[in-house]
Amino acid sequence: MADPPMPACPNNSRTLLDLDADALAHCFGFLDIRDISNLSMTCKPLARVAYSDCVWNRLFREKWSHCSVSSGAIGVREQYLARHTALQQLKFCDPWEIHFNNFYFEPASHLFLERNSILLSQGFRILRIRVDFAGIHLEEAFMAHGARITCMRLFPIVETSLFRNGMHPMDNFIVTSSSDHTIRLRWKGGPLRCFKGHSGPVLSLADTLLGDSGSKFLASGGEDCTVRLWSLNTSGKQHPLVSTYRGHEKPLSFLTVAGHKSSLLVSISKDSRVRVWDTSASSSNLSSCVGMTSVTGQPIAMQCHDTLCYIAGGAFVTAIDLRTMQRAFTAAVHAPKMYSFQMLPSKWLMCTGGKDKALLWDIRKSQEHQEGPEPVAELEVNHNTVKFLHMDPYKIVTGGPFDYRVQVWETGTGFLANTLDCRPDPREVAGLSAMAVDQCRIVTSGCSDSPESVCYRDFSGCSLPVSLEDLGAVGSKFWESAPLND
Amino acid sequence: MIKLVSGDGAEFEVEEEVAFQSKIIKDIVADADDVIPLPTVSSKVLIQVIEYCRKHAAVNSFPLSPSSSAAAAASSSSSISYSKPVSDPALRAWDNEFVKLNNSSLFDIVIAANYLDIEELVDLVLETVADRIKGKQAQEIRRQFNIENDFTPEEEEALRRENSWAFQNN
Repeated sequence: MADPPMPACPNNSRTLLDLDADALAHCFGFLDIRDISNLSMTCKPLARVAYSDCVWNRLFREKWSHCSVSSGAIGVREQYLARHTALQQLKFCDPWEIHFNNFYFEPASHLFLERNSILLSQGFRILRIRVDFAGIHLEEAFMAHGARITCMRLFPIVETSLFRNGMHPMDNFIVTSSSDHTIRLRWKGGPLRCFKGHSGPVLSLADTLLGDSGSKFLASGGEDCTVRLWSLNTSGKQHPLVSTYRGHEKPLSFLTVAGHKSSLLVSISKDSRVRVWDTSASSSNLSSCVGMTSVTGQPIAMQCHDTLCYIAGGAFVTAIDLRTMQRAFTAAVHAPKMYSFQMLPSKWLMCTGGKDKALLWDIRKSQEHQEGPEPVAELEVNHNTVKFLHMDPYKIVTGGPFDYRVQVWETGTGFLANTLDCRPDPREVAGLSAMAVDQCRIVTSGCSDSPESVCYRDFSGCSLPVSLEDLGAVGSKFWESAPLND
Repeated sequence: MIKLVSGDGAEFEVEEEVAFQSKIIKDIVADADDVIPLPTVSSKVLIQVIEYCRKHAAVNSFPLSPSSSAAAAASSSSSISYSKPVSDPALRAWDNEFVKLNNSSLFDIVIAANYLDIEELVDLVLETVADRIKGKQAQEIRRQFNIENDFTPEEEEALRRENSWAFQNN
């Protein structure tokens, strides 16, 4: 019996820490990354095991069985993180790449990535393109509306009472607004609802559903200068229109929901006037309007975080405090004109897209500098206008209508991580009409004289890191200090 | 018959096939005598371990029925368990009842099972412990297992930042 003798102690109750490191590592073998991360935050002894090579070797092999862990000085957890980060930053040159030749000519106006499919709106139509190991093919294409689609959103269906047997909890439903005065809800199994009430084209849909888990509402804004609230719970008999908010004098541009209070709806119209509506108030008239203000410049985006609402318009991103309706600070100044705006509140970062460059801003720094915000990084793109912007904790992706290439940047540093050519060979594509990014996957739709073409890339199984040379930069240093896959 | 002596001096007579569920005992018996002192195992724990070994010895001595071997084939493809999964549904149900114990008792058993080298029992108990960790946040795990937080607030904040990536949508 090789084990060192242990005193039998029936009276002292044992704890998890009485198990030796091998037994703990064995136990952690039944857990996933989140559980192991939680364990590492409990106490020092468990943190040591939760960070150990043995635990991370298993996680690495489970996720990337085709890659090997190098036995150098770098711990396996660090290697896992390095590979995870590099994949998220699309820093590889061997993604799984596939093109879909679309047969419609209108430029794509909205593009989304779901688990196994791409959703695309083109003119009056919606296309669902399936992507899986078997390839890429059109699953359905339908005339969703009698006129152009103006806005498209995806919401998890499980959060609403639209959820039925036969639906997957991960399924989304599509909401589209259109110049045909209607809003349509659709699931991949067929149409769900049609909301009629606006007396003109419907221009925008709120980016979030309002209400609690029991009853959900959708907000829309129209050319008729009204904001309308629709119930997702009503059956066929009741009219789904719950409220009509009047007060704006120009067509609506954007709608969003306050971060600190989910019953507050913020709307902005084309004349840059902002109104806040308390949707929990039952009356559907002016008295629901609980705040008003205005900003400068034609609005291009609006997003709330906590008690602040960030409005991008003209050359400015202005933060409005929704409790006082006063301008809190100017978060960004991107002259002469912004074309896109994204923010990442978890990292206090925001990004603005303009002509030939995108700028990265630190929200906290902007808050401090009263004399005017300074960007923390400049992302240079030549001969293009950054109209499409994606931002997550790992990367910023920029694209535009005058270049067939997409640039990927590190969020933390603003360094160029990769450049992706989105042309379907050999056909020439002038630029992009839409872009969507989800984790390690990216899809773009290209515009040219011929029909639109969709380019899809999945980096999750990659193994060949991009070098600086590939990016056209000086030197030949690899991005990763230690290549993982040799 | 083999005689096992617990750390607190209690003696247990068990059949060879029961005792041989432990690889260590099997090895000892092969080149020594039939009285085996187990100074680190208390009688309370030894009773539980013997109960487990008796059940498993009885089941393992019969060939699998066709239905249960099909179940074994099905479960082995999905399980992440290390040793071969328990294949008999009735035995699995028995195992599930067996591990309905408080944490402290589970740790006692796993330490004993480790020491006696009873692979299936180690797996069973550690998977049960893992199930009690699953889906819980650090604070809930501490409460579940009576663990004291020995981090400073600064260390805790650093760890929270260091681990935040795992909780992003990926």
